[in-house]
Amino acid sequence: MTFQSSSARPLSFPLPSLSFLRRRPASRSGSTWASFIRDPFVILGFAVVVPLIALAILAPVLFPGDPLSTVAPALIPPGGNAAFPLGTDTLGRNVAAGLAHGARISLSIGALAALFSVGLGLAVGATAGYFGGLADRILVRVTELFQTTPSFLLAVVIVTLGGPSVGVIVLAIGLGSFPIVARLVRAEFRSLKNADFVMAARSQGFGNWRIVREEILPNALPPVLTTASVLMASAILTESGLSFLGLGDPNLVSWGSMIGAGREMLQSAWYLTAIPGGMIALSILAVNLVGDGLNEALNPRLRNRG
Amino acid sequence: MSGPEQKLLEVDRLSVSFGRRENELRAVDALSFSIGAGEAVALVGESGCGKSTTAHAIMGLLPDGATRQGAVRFAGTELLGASRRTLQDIRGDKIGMIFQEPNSSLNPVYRVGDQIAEALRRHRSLSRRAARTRTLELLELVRLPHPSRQIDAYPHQLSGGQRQRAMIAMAICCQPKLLIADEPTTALDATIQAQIMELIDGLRRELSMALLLISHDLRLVARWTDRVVVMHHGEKLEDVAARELFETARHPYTLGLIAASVGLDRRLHYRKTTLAEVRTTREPQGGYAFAIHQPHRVADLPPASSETLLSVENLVAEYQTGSGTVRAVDDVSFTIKAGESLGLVGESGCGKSTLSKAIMRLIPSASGRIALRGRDITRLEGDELKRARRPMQMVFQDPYGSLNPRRSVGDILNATLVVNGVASGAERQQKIKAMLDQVGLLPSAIDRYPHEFSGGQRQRIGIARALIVEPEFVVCDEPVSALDVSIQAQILNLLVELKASLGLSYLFISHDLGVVQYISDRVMVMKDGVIIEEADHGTIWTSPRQAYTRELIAAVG
Repeated sequence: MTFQSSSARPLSFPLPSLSFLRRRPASRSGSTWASFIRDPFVILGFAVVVPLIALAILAPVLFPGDPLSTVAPALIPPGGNAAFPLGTDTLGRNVAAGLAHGARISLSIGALAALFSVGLGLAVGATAGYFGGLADRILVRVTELFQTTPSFLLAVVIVTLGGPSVGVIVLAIGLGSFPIVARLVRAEFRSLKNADFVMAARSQGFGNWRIVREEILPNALPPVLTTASVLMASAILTESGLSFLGLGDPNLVSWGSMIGAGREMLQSAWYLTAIPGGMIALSILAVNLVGDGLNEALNPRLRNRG
Repeated sequence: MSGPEQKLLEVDRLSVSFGRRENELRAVDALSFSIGAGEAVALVGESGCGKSTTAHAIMGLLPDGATRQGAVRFAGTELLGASRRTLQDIRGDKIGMIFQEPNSSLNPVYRVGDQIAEALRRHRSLSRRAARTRTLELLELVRLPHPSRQIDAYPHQLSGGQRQRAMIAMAICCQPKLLIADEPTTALDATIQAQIMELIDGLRRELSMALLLISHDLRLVARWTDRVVVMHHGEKLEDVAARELFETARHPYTLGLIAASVGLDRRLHYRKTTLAEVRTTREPQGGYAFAIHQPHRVADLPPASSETLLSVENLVAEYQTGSGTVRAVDDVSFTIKAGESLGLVGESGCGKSTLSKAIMRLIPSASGRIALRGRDITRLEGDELKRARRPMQMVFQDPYGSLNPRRSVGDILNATLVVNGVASGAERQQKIKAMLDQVGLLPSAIDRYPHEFSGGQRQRIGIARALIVEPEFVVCDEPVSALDVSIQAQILNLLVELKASLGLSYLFISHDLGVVQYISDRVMVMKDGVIIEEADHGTIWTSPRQAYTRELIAAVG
C-alpha cells in the first residue's frame, strides 16, 4: 500500500489505515503474513512491482526534463547508442525516459481508479446491503446500469465529453468498475448484518454508523482489498487503451500513448510497440500475483486455523 | 472362518497427530479398543477429545497432513495405510457412516433417492431400476414417511429428522458389518433424537451390525450401547459396560462428567445446590489430573419479589417468507417479577428465539405490548429506546458468532460502555477490569482477541458484555447449548452467582429441559409460537398438564 501513495506523489491522497489487518493476534497473523511472504509467486509479484514503483518515483531524477521533447536523432534502435539504451522513437524522443515517466501515469491512474471504485463501491454496497428495502432496490438498479454498460465504451464516452485530464480518466475508469466492489460489499453486509455480534451490538444501543464502521466493515474488507488489486490491474489496461486511442492527456507520456505512437512503425521499428507493451503485461501480471497472495493471506477459509 | 475371539474392529495403539514438530497437536494418543460383531460401543468425551478423529482414522478420511501410527484392523484387514482402492471398497459397503449435520451431509442438488441409489450402484452393480426398488425398500426400512414420494424429494424439502433417516438409509444400503454414527442426533430436537436412536438400534439388531456411536452425551450412550470408552485429550481413560456406567465408572473424569450433568431426573435446582465442576489440570510430567469441585451454595438468594419487572401482553411477531407471512410468536403474554428466573422451553422453530428478539426490540412486533417496569417500550425509537433498553441485556447462544472476531475483548467492552454513556476513560477501564474479574477472566484478557479463548471463556466474555452496563434483566438465549458438560456447569454456576450478587432477573431460553429445570423459578413451554403451558418449577416436571409437555419430558427421561 505504501507504493500507491508514493507512486502518486503529485496526486497525493489519504491512505486507509491497514492496522486492523495487523491487529489480528500474533499467533495467527504471524503465520499468515509469513506464508504470504513465502509464496514464490507473491515474491515474484513484489519483485516486479517494487522496482516499477521505484522507477516511477525516480523518473524525474533518472530522466530529468520533459520526456516528450526531442533529444536525439529519430529511430535509434535499442543498444544503438549507449546514452539511449532503449533507443529513440520517430520524433527522436528517449524511449527509456518515456517508459519511466509513463510508469508514473500508469501506476497512479491504476491506483487512483482502483481507490475510486473501492470508495464508491463501499459506499453504495454498504448502504444497499445494510439498510435493504427501497435504498437497496434503487442502488442495485443503478449499479446494474453501470455493470451492463461495456466499461471501456463508457470510459471512451466520458473522456470524450469531459476532456482528457487525469481526474476525468480516473472517474471514467472507476465508474466502469465500481459495480464489482458494490456487489461484493453488499453481499458481505447482507450476511454480516445478521451475525450474532451485530445483533449484540444493536441490543446494546449501538448506532447504525458505529455498527457499520466498527462491527461490519473490518470483517467485510479483506475480500474488497483483494478485488482492489485486480481492479488496479484492469485500470492500468484501460488507461493504456484510452491513451492508445489518443484519448489520454496529450501533455503526459504513458505506456498506451507510446504504443499508439509506435504502432505505424510496427514493421520497421517493432520495439517501439513491444517495449511499452511488455511493461503493461509485466505490471498487470505482477499486480495480479500480489492480489492472489493477498487473497490467500486474508481469506479465512484458506488460512490455517489454530 | 474367524474365531470367536477375533473382533470385527480392532484399534491398536492408534495415534493421530496434526502439524509438524513444535506445532504438533496429538489428537489421538495410543488409543486401543475393539468392537465384536454385532456389538454397540460408544466413544464418549468432550469436544476436542479425539473421538471424531478416531472415526475418521478408521474410515481413512483423515486430512492429508495427519500422521498416523498404530493399527486399525477391520475383519482382519489393516486399514491404516491401505490403498485407496481397498478403502473405497470397504467404505459404504462394509462400513457405513452417519454424520452429525443432516443439512450438509446430503448433497443439496441431487434428489435423496438418487444419492442412495448411487451408493448402491457403486458397490452392488445393480441396474438403475433395481437400485431404485432397493432404495424404496431402504426408505421404508428407515420409516421415512411417504417413501414413494420422498424418494424424489430434494434434501431441503425434508425436515432435519427425515434427512437423518435418509442419511441412515444411505449408510446401511449395502448392509455394512459396522455402522459408525458420529453425533447422529446432536443437531436434532429431543423428541426426534429418541426416534432416531430407536431406529438405529432396531436396524442394528435386524441387520446384525456392529455400532460405533460417537457422542458427548453420557445418558445417550448409556442407554443405547453395550460398552462405553471414555476419552479425554486423545487418551482412553476408561472402558466400562454401558448398563453400569453411572454405577461402576471409577475414573474421576467420568465421575466428574456425571456429577456436572444436569439431567431432568436429577431434580437439581439453583436455589438448593450448585453444580459440581470438573477441574482438569495439566501435570508437569505431561499427564492430566482431574478433580471434582463443588462450589459453595450462594448464601443470599432472595426470593422473587412481587414487583413486576417485565410484562408482555398479547405479543405477535411475524416474518415474511417466499410463500407468505409466518406468525412466529402468536399472542404471547407473560410477566417476570424482579429477582425471578423464568425458563422458556421449546423445540427448534417454536418461536422462542423470535420472542426473545422481539422483547429486546431487535425485530419489530406486529402487535401487542412490552412494558419494562410499567413503561411501554414497544414503540420507542432512537435515543429514547436506547435509554429505556439499557436495563435489558442479552446473552447469545453461539460463543463464536456473538463476538466480533476483529476486536479485542477490551475494545468490545469499552465500546459497550461508550455507547451507554460512560464518558470517563478511567472509569471505563476500571469497570472493565472489575467485570472481567467478576466473570472469572484474568485482566490480561483485555488485550486478547475472541478466538484466543475457549468456548466457555468466550461465553464469559459474552456475559461480561451484557452485564457491564448493570442491567436488571437479562435474556439468555440458549447460553450453554454450544458448550461441553463440564463448561456448562461452570457457566450455570456463574449465572447463578451473578444473579445473586447483582440482583438480576433472567428469561432463560433453552431446548434442554435439564438446564431449564435447574435455573428456573417458573417455566413456560412454547410450541408453534404459542405458550401452551406455564407452571411453577416444582410442579411442571412432576405434573405437566399438556400432552406435548409430557412428550418432551418422556423424550429425555
